[in-house]
Amino acid sequence: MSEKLLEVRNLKTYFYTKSGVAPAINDISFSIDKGKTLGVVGESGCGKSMTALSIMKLIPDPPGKIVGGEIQFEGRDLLKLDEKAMREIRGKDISMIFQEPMTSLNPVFTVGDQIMEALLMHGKIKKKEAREIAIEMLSTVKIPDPQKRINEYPHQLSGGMRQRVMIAMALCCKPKLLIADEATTALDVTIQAQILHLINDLRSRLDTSVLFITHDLGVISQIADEVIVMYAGNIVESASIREIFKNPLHPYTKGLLECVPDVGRRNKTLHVIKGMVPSLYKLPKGCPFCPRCDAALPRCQDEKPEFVLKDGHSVRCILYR
Amino acid sequence: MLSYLIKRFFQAVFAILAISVITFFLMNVIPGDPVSLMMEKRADPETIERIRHEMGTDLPLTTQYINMMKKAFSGDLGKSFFSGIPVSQLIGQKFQTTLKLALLAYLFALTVGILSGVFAALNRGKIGDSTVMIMAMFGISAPVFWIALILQIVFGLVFKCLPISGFSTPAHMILPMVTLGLANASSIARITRTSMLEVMKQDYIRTARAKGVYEKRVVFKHMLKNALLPIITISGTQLGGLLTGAIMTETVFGISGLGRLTVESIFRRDFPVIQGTVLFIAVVYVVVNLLVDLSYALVDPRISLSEVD
Amino acid sequence: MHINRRSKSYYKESFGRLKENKAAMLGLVIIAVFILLAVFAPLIAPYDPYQQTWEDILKNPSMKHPAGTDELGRDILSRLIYGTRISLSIGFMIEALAMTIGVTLGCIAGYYGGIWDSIIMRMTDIIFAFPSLIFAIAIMFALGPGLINVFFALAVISWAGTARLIRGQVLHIKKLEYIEACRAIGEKDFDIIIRHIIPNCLPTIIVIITLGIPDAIMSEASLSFLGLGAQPPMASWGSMIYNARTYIMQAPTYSIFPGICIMLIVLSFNILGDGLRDALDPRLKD
Repeated sequence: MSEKLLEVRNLKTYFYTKSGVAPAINDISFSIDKGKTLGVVGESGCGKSMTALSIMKLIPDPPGKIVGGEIQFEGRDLLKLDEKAMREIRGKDISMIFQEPMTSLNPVFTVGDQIMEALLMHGKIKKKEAREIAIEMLSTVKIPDPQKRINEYPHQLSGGMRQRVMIAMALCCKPKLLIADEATTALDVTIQAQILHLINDLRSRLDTSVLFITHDLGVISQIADEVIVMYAGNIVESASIREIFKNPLHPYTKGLLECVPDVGRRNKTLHVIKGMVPSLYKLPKGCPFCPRCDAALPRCQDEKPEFVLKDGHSVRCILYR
Repeated sequence: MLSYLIKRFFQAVFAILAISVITFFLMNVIPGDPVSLMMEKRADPETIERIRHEMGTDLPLTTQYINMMKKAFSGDLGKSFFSGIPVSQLIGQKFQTTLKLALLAYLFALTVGILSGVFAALNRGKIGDSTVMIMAMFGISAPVFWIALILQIVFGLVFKCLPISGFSTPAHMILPMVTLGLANASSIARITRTSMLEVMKQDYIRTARAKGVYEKRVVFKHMLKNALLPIITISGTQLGGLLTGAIMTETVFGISGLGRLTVESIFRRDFPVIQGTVLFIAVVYVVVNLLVDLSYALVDPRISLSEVD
Repeated sequence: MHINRRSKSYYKESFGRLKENKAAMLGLVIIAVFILLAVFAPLIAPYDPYQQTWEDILKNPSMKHPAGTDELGRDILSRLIYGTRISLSIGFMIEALAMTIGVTLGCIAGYYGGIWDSIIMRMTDIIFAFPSLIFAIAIMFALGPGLINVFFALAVISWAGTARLIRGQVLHIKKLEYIEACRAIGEKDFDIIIRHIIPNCLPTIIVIITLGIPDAIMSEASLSFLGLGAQPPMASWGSMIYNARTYIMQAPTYSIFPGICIMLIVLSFNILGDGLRDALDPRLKD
């Protein structure tokens, strides 16, 4: 029985703007076990990035606000902690890496300074020591010639290398949880593979759990142990990686899997899920996926489905009641 | 970088030469032979001729110009018609005062301007933002000489707490410094605000917070250093305005500096002083602008000077 | 993507954006008030600005003289109102001349390039190599004091900034395809410049004018303050402050009021200019 590292219960994050109130995260619950990778899949706007930012409590306020729920991490509810306590956790116990390595690193500081900053913020260590650790981290993320690279600026590095630097920066304090928000999306496919391999490797070495967010099912298949599928601010399905691929239950999940083009087989038209993601300001009553669902029943328009759990595989769909 | 510097150097030399020619031309074209002005009605034609010959004003204009430039290169700018003191000495003395005033004013402008701009950006949309920005607009629109007079009235007449003329003690320096620096402070505040707002949206700020960096450091280290480039760019181009403002400030506060010297010498038709100060100001101005251009490369490691123009 | 700046809809939209900018609208209103004051000065001013009295010298503001009186017993408020005429007209005129010269030379430099460009750019280099007000003072020195000379001196200097900006715009517009097309049809250069290039520069020109006028007004005020501008008995706001300085102890308000006028008009134009810049090219806004 694995231990739970992070447990999110009934999280609600709403955005208040001129156009109205958008429930970006509308009551979701999930957990991450120690040493495991949880993959979060969904289209743009489904709330996956917001989930990550909610855990880190970096939701831009205004216009966003975490309005309900709890996030249990190491015996504490993160939502009840003050900013000072959160700052100690960020970068040290929970780290995050982002999608755009080009713009996510500060252009006017050297790569070394930025890694060292994470170390100096979280521990009483001397600058010299921090520098050694930074060089070590650079070689851990397989950046060649770290002694030289440490004094370089982000614009002098390639996209793949910058992402490695981000990873080095995120892992240098040996966090318990690494959140990767579309970390490979902006990279070339070959580099993507390298970075995923690196993350997997480091995860087992440092015994870090990973929350990996992506819209790419191919990437999920390579990295996740457990998967949750999100749609319009809700989790619609949650299962192990094998179950999701072998036995997808929710029509949306099935649709997503159908959409992945099959390289081997020709003469097959690309599958498309009809319709568009609804605006969060005007969510339909009942199941949010109903307008696009091929298997929709008349009841789906009025009733919002509850979770149905079976052998560790849960799904939010009326079809399975 | 080297080719850029060389190009700028030649542009600068050309401009300075052109300005010296223009000034020379202006002075010699106006009615009022300096010698006879000086002598007024006292001397007879022979003495006037003799003095003219001594001063070299009977030579053809181009020769006079070349002689003057030759002497200028060796540091001899002639003597003031008015006081007889060597021009270079006059400039040397007065420039020190003006330089002090200008530096103080610039430091004041940078400090007050950047802090206000950061404050306004962090409080965007709220009352702090509007207040700072309105005050900045007033600061840019009020004439320097008028600000000087208002400050004199308020602090010298009404509250009687600060000295209003002269430049001897630190207390004397406060009002002139504020007067000269206010317009620049206002414009720096506006630029800082805009620049900070741009930087605040950037991804790397989010990364810094995600690392657990505390907010004050995020603002003053991560944001400000990136926001500095446009601030320095534009505030650098305002340095020339400091000289202009110095004229007004020195006039109102009775400070014996280069600005006042320039204006007084023009009123008194003190040709050598005018020529000398104009030349000097042109050189200083050009050098300062060049230094400002060079400073860009220091602040932003991404820029190589060939891109700056 | 090039915005077609000759279409009516572009200007209609821009004006709509401008209307939303309350500060800019306020600036516009204040400018309009000043213009009215200038035009209807004789009807609005309570006294003759040149009327000297013996009893009422250097009086503080009162019901009889809301802005006080000056050293010759003249009513300051009336002088301020008449001063509007001077400050505004000189500001407009300087900007008009500077704009004409600047646009012409800028177009020539940008469109024809080559030696014309070099000559014109060298001239602007010289003007920019020196602080402008001191340059103006030097020119005034040669010409002598007086408002007309102020006008010439400032116009001679102010065109340089405009020329550079317009040149930049022309260089950009020149490259557009439809200019090539016009040339291919055989349109004459002069026609191309007048009918195609300048209209595309119009937003820039509008902003330059709106921000150039307060600059000219400020420069004239500065020169007058030094005693080089309007000569007595004419009263520009700057020269009033020049006079007021002597009496700062006895009548401090004498120096305050003209300065407020200068500040208000400059502020209004600056706010309007900012607003116009944002309205005409919203991409530049923060």
